[in-house]
Amino acid sequence: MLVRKLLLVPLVVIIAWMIVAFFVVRNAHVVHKVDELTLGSIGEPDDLNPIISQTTAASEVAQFLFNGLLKYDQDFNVVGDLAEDYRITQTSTAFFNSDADAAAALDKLNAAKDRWAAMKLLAVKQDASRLLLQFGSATDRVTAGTSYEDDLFKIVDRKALRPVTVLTLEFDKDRKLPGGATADTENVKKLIAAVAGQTRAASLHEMIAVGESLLSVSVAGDTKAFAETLTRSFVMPLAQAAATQGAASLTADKPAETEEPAISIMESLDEALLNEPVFTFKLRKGVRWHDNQEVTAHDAAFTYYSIIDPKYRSPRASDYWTIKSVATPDDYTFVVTYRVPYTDCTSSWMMGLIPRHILEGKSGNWWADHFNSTPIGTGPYKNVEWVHNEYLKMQANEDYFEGPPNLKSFAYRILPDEFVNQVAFEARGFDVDGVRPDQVAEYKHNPRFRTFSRPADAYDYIGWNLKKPLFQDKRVRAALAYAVNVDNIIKYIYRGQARASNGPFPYHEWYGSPNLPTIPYDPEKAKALLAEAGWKDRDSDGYLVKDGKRFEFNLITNNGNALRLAIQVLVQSDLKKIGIKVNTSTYEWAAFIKNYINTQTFDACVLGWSLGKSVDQFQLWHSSMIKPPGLNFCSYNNKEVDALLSEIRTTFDRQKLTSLCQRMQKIVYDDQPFLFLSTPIPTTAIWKDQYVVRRPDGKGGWIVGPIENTPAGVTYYMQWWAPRSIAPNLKP
Amino acid sequence: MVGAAIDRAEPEALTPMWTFIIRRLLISIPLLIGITIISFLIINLAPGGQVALPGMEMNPGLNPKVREMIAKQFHFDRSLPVQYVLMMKDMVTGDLTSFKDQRSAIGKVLERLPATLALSVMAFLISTGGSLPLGIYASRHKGRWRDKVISVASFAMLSLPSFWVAYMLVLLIVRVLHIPALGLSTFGVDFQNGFREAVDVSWHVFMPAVVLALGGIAGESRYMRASMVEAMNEDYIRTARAKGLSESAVAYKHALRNSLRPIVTFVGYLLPAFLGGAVIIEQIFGYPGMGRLMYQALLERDMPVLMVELTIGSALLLVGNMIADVLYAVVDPRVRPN
Repeated sequence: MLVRKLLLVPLVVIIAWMIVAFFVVRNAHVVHKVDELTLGSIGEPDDLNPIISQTTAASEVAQFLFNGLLKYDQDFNVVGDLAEDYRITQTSTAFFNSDADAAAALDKLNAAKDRWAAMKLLAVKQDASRLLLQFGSATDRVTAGTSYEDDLFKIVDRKALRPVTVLTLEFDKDRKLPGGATADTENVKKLIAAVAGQTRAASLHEMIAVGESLLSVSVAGDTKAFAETLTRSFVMPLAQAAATQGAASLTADKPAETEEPAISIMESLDEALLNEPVFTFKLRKGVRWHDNQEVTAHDAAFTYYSIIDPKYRSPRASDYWTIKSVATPDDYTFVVTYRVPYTDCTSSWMMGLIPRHILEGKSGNWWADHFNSTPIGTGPYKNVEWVHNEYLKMQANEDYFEGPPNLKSFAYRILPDEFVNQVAFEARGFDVDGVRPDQVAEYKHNPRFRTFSRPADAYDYIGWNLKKPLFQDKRVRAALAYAVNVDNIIKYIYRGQARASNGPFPYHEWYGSPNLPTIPYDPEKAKALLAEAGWKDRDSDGYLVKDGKRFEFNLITNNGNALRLAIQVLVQSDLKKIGIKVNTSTYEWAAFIKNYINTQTFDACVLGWSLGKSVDQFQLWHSSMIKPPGLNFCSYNNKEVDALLSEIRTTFDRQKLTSLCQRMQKIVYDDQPFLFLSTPIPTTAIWKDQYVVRRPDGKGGWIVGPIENTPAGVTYYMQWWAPRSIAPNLKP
Repeated sequence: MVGAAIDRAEPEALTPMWTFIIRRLLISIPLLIGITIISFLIINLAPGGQVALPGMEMNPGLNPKVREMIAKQFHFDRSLPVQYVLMMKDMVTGDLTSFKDQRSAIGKVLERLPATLALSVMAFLISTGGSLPLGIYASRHKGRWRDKVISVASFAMLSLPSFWVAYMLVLLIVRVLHIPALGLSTFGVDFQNGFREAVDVSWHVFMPAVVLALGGIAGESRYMRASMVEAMNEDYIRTARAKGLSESAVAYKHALRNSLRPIVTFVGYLLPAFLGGAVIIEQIFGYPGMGRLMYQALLERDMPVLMVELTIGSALLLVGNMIADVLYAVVDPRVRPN
């Protein structure tokens, strides 16, 4: 029967075709590719424009396409990248009560000229009742912060000075000021000038607009009186302001207590001198963009202006809010003046520069269509070909300023999930892979791979909501820490690939406290501490009771993170042993943040912080950051820590920073606002026989060697990986 | 059909079939609008609300003004009904952009459409090509061991979760056989000629298509078998046998034609089933189709892309249903509109 045979035709054709395809694909599949570096990732970059992108995947790709002015070397020292050299000096202003006082101080300083070098003072100039002091040193790159003041005040009497306050005011453009004017920058400035006119004891020095809704105001003299007048006159709720002006009818139809002030003081920094660090970059000459235009200081300035322009929606804008002005005295010099010392300012210049000649005057949408996915950068690879959800591919930039890369192309594969990711890596689908904790042992013993481990700048924690009476007693929090067996969490959840965390700063960093001991597992001590705090098992039902209330709370986390779910369960069982009832629940991330974290209605949460290399943890711990979107949602409030946080972010000296951070670490760890769990130690695997490193030695030559772990990780020199064939005798 | 038109002596008038198709299309429009409204509401019911742009949560660095600007661009400051209308307007004009990368949402979905259609067509060919012979074969050996083996196998195929089958297939092909199967083409290989490249792509379409088609093969072959068995019991079969026709002529000429009718409707519903299944299967195979885009849009809460996906997906579903209805009318004169 013909029909009978025809019925089988489609099936036969499909099967035959697939057998052919099977062999074609198998024969074409190159197992040993040599001239392409391939990375695999589960996440896809959101955007390749370094000032806009937010994902880890995007920054992994961007390092091959862009260069910043500065970069970290393999030991995390700051070194120049597009900038050949950099220098931070400082202009400080000292305010005196009168011209005569200023002149007297100048005389004293001039008389002690032999001590200038020690405190790195270069020059002093008098301007009426002020002295302008130039700090800097020919031998030090960084001469900023407040570390010179002690020496200075040995010569000049501190009491002769008028103290300075730098206030950061936030205002809302959509609201009205007490007088009825719109709260825009101009009107706010006028009002503040009026306040200054009323306060005799203080004098307004300078007002600098920061972005569209911030104003930085520096005041000398009786700054307390100034701030008080300011608060009384303008920074009070609108309704009250209207009432004091006899215009109560204005707000009659609105409930007064819900009205937020149009202006509020966001931050206030009290200093002896007004310190303005000046960052000077000398750019390398002859570095070219991928389209052959030369990179100049104007590109750096353009990058800065683009970041602070809300039109381009850069999520990094706040990193640059402490900048007062930027200047380009010539094509290769870029000068940035800061309003206040900010220790993290170096890392903000590690962000990739974007080309002015292409992007200037274009809209954000034009950027999205013409640049953000096919960017022109300065990096070792160029010409991005992006097949969404599959891969990004780019070609070597033979004109790269440090020398041509060793591998002809770079590819970034996007893989669907962890399982497929691992399968693809083992089939040599890509070259470097992060190993899951439960597989580290297997990979370590596999002769085909080399593995490298380094602690991450991150930790997981249980945050106690300090607004809840349950967690307000420090002894209770300490007891909770004694009661949870962190070693078990590390052993069973992290499979040993983590270390107990001893506070907010990672123990392995230069600013960490490696010798601060962690709280051991000691349920008996926990019980004793709880009993001391009044928690006892009064009704013998196994649970602790105080004032008729059982010790019971909800421990929440976000779903989608298996480690956190497992931590929840272990903590629940550990605490049950000492008579605390823990209820657990998980929520979808957005709901978790919106309904529990931002509203601060949770009891306790399992979360983690990924910190980066910053010593500035102001956002996480300062009491002013309790209100969202500040990140101190556990409401930690310690005046000493507040002061330390402010000092840390204005100090540059690494030694001093270390001691400040260690002091803060000790205080926070003693307070136990979090139950600090552990710092993960991630492992990276590479193919043993694939690549070696051939990198420039900075003097025109090359260093060839095996791939090694560095403090910055095994992938630090990834852009210089080279085929093994260039050094056949090198042992892996 | 042509004869019917002439009989009515109205040459310009549309044939009844065309009227039927056009009427179906017109009915589809309010249906599609209804589907978009429901989709919109469901997306908005998701916990946490809509203002969950990537990086907006837990990012104090984001200027509040920027936050507001983004909310304004996506009309989050308006009431839900207004939001819906504005979103549909943006969708039609093409102004609707993805939260994630600001690219046009329609463009993002349409560039994925060919891959998903190719996958669906391939899955359709495999499931139909496989199930018809299988179902007929089983019915021809009704009650005997071959039928039973096929039955057991079909039920096994129906009950295996397709995501598990997909993972096992990936393991087998990539890890055991060392052959690439992820994505739409072999990564990092220059095939040098167009034919080989096409073969390579077809291989990559084939793998997920097999997984998608498995359920189809099982279901469709059971359906085919039942339909065939039923037809073999009809009076006209007895007549045919009485005429002295050979058994295979009876089965393939008389019974097969009549048993195909219910199969046609089944085929019409396969397309939406493939589109739904593709969300998970494409994700596992890293196949760059609409399903994978949808899965990621879900995770990223990329509402504009989700809306476009759901709209285009339901439009495809309506088209599939319409094709099924039309085909049904084609194979069965009794249901032809007139």
